[in-house]
Amino acid sequence: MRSKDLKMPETDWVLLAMALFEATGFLLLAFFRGFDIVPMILAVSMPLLLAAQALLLRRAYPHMDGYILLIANFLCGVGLIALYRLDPDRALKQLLFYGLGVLVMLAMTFLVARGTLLRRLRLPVMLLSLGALLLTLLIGEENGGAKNWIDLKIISVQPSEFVKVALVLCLALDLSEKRTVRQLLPVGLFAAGCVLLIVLQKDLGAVLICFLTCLTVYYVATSNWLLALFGLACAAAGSAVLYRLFDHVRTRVAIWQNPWDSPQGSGYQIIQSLIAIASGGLTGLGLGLGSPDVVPVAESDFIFSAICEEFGIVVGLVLLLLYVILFARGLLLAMRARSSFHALLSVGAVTSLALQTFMIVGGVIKMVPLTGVTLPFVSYGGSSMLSSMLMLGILQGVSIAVGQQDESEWRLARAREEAQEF
Amino acid sequence: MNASAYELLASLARYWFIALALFIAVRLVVAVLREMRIEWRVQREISEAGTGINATLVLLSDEDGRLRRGKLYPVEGETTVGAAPRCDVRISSRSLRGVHCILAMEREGLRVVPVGEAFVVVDGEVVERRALAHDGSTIQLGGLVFRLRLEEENAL
Repeated sequence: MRSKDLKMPETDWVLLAMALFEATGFLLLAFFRGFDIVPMILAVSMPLLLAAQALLLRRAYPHMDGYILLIANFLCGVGLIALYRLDPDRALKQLLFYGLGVLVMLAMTFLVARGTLLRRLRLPVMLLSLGALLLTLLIGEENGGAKNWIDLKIISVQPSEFVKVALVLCLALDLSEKRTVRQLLPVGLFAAGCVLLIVLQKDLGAVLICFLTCLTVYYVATSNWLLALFGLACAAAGSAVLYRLFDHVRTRVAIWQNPWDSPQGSGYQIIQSLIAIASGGLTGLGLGLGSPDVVPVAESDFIFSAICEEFGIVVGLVLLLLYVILFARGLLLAMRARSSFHALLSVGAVTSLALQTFMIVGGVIKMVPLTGVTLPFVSYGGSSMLSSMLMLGILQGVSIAVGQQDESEWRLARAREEAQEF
Repeated sequence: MNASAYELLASLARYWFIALALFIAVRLVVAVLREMRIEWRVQREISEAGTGINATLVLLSDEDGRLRRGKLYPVEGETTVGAAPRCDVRISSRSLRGVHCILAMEREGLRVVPVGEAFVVVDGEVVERRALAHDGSTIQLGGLVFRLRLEEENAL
C-alpha cells in the first residue's frame, strides 16, 4: 500500500459537477429579473470558493475529511441560489455569514485537533452560554411563539444555536474523563440549565435537539441504558406537560394532524408547502418559474419546499442523501477515534445536525409537527449558519486528530514489516 | 432576455440540474464506499503489523489475598478499570470502586486518571488528577498493587 492510499481518493468529478450546478444556478438568476450583475459574479466566485476550499485545504491538511467539506459547502451554495431567487438582499447577507462561517469552521478545527486549549475554555464557554440564554429571556424578542432572539441593532442573534455547540464540547470534555456523579455534576447542571432556559424561551425545537443530543452523548459515553431510557421517559412526560402549557405547541400539533381545518389560518403555511412540493413534481418547475414566495418564511424554515418546487423532488432527495453521507462520515470518524473525547465530539455534532435536519424536513413534508428549526447550511440565518459551521469544524478537527494517529501508526507498521523482511 | 426565452432556458436547465445532482449522488456514494474499504484495509494492516505498545498490569499483591499474584490484566487503548461489570477490566475487589480509574496509552507512557476520590498511587505518589506511568512503574489501585509492563507489539 502506498502512502497516498491513506489520503482521500480523487473526488474531482464530484467537485466539477457541484461547481457546474452552482454556476448554472447563479447564471440563470442573472437573467431572472432582467440582467443582474451580482449573480453573474457569484456564478464565478462561488464555484471558485468551493474548489479553493476543497483543493487548498485538502492539500494543506490532508487529514481533513474532503467529503464532509465538499458536501457542506455545496449545501451552502444550493441554499444561496434558493435564497437569491427568493430575496437577493438576504442572500447577500447570508453570503457574508457563509464567509464568516468558513473562518469560524477553521478556528474550531484547530481548537479540536489540538484539544488542550479547549479544556481551558470549558468554564468560560459554560458561563457565556448560560449568560446569553438568561439575557435572551430578559431582553429577547419573540418570534413565532418563541422568545429566542436578541436584537443587537446591527444584527440579531439566536443564542440557542451556539449553545448546541457549547453543549457538545462540554459534554465530550467531561464525559470522556469523569465518571462519578460528583464529577459529572457541573456539566449535568450546565446541560439541565441550558435545557430549562430554552424551555422558558418556548423554543421547543432547540429544546428537543439539545436534550436528545445530551442523552445520546451520555449513553454513548457510559452505556448506561437504564438512565438513558429514564431520560427518554422524562422527555415524553415533559413534552406532554409543554403541550398543555403552551398554546403554540398545541397549534402546531393540531396543524400537523390536520392542516385543512384552517387552510387560511394556522394551516396555511404547511398546506402551501405541500402544494409547492407537489406542484414541483419529480423534475421541478424550473428555477424562477415557481412561486415559492407564497409559503411564509420560505427562505428560512421552508427552504426545502422552495428547493423541491423549482428544482424537483429528485434534487431534494439528492440533498437528503448528501446529508446522510455527511452524518455517516461523522459517525465513521467516531468509530475510528482512539480517544473517547474525539468520539463523543463527533457523535454529539452528528446527532445535533441530524436531529435538526430530520425535524425540519419532517416538518415541511408533514411527517412530524413543525418545530421551527433551520435546515443546516441551507436555510437563511446567520446564527444557524455559524453554528452549523462550528459543528463542521468539530468534525474536521476530529478527522485531523484521527488521521494523524492513523498515519503515524501505519508508518510504524510499514517500518516494522520492512524490518522483518530485511 | 425576454420572459419566454428565460422560461425556455429555465425549463431546460432543470434537466441539467437533475443530471448533475444524480451524477454527484452516484459518484459520492461510490467514492465513499471505496474510501471505507481503503480505511478498513489500513486499519487491518495496522492491527496485523502491530504498531503500538502492549500494556499489561501484573498483579503484585492484593490486600484481601483473594486474587492470584502474577495475574495479568491487558490494557487496550482507553480502558476503564473497576469492580463494575461495565468496566473494560473488571476486577472483583472490595477495595476498588465501581469505575476506579481510566488508563490510556499515550506516546509518553500510560496515562492514569483516577475517577472521583478513588485511591490511586503511581510510583509512590498519590494521584489526584492524572499521572504518567512507564515500563516497570508500580501502580496501586485501592488495595491492589500492580507492576506495569510495556512491551512493543510483535517485538522482533
